[in-house]
Amino acid sequence: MYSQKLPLWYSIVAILLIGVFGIGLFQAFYGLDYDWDFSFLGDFFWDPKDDKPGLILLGLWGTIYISLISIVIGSGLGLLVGTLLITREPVTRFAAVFYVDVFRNTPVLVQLYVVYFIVGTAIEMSPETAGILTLSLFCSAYVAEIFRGTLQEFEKGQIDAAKALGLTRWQTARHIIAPQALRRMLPPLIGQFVSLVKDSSLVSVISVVDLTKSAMNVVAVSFRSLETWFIIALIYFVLNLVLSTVGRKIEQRLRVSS
Amino acid sequence: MTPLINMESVSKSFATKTKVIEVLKSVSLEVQEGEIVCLIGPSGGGKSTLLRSINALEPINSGSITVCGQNLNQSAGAVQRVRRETGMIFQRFELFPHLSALENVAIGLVQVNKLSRSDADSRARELLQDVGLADHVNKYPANLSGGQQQRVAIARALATDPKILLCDEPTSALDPELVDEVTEILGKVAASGMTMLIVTHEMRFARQIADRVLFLDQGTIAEQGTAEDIFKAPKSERLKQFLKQIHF
Ligand SMILES: Nc1ncnc2c1ncn2[C@@H]1O[C@H](COP(=O)(O)OP(=O)(O)OP(=O)(O)O)[C@@H](O)[C@H]1O
Ligand SMILES: [Mg+2]
Repeated sequence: MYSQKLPLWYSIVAILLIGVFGIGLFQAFYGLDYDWDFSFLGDFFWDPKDDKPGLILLGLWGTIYISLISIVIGSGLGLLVGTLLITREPVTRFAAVFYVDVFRNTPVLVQLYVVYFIVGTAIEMSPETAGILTLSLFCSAYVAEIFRGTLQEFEKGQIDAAKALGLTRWQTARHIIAPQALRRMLPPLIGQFVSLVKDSSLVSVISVVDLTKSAMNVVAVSFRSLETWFIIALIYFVLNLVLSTVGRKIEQRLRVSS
Repeated sequence: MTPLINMESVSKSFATKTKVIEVLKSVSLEVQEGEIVCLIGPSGGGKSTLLRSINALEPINSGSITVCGQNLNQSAGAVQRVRRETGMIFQRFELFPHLSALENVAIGLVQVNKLSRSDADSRARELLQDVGLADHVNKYPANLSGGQQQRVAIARALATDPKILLCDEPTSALDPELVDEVTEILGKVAASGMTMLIVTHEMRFARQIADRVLFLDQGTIAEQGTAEDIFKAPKSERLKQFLKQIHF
């Protein structure tokens, strides 16, 4: 592979444009004539009175906990639904396609309301359970699609070669398809997980204590919405940056070990 | 002597959305142990389908196929046993890209022949040495030339010690200068007494190696004979036409 060096002025133009944008942004905030003060947030991270985690840390834990459980359940369920998507039995396949379509073509917020207010009324359900259930179902629809796509695109030639060698179906799945499919699925899966962490903020509307709900509460008592939301955005950003980085590391690891 | 491969009135058709194509029309064929049979014929004539029906990669609609005493129609177990007794070489190599050359060759030894990892590795090394790739055992398929990949594929197919080697256009995806390194190895395999069925457009190779040449056209064996018969004294008009087109 060879790379051609780009002319230096490309970078100079880029720096200039970013500079202009940055100055504009700074001007806009400065023009607000707002007295920025982040110091009050410390108490919301760690409550000094009771010496225990404050609202924001509790919310962060809520977000991590809800996202993680939803990702795990959603992935498991997604693999199952994904297998049904490629079954030859038409009724099962149709049901699976319908399931995926429902969850991909309706807003998560609406799904959350339906699960909490309709299903949750029929069978007693806490807000946390309703939130985790909705996010898991939503996540599973996307995981199922990723799984189906990866398997259906898998080269038939390799499967023929494995069969011709005398490998059983299980051996082919385990030693030929799985390692390659896993590596191909990882980038879209990580993208899906990052999106799920962001979408988990919606559970705040049914009063589940997550990062977003905590931010609302902090704003309600401190009246400092600018600083609060700025920090909350930063926390989401760092959380997802960690997730993507871990994903990239695993991907590299799979590449090397193959 | 009972033939190693026995196909009796084998028919196969593919149904597409618009029509049904008859690819094999009541084909019968016997191949004796140690025999080298080359299949030639125009594109779409059913050569690949015939080859792939022998190890049940392509199910047939009617007729029967017996390979090494196993009737393929009988059970899934028979299919599995036949696949262990046959090796296959593909036009596009079909190596497993996530495995090194060594692992590609060893996987059949470990999974099918149940050798230990270390025994499989040393056997795989020998096989790769036999195809002239002793220096490339740890390379991945993406880093090997087409000719080298096909040689790994040959080593992989031979690893499980098959009685029959099925080759579907083993050299037609190769650059011209790489063809000889592959045909040379297939020649050695043939000389070792292997029973082989080879679909090829390399007429020079077919003439060298074949005990018998089959001309497959429109789903039937239109003509067969020794390489001399087929290439020097073609009888049917279609075969003459075909040989003229490929001007070897
Ligand atoms: N999976 C399939 N579905 C539908 N039609 C198929 C399929 N496989 C093969 N065919 C058709 O069957 C016919 C014979 O195909 P086959 O691959 O056996 O021919 P071939 O003699 O090997 O040709 P070539 O020299 O091009 O490889 C062709 O018309 C092909 O289009
Ligand atoms: Mg073919």
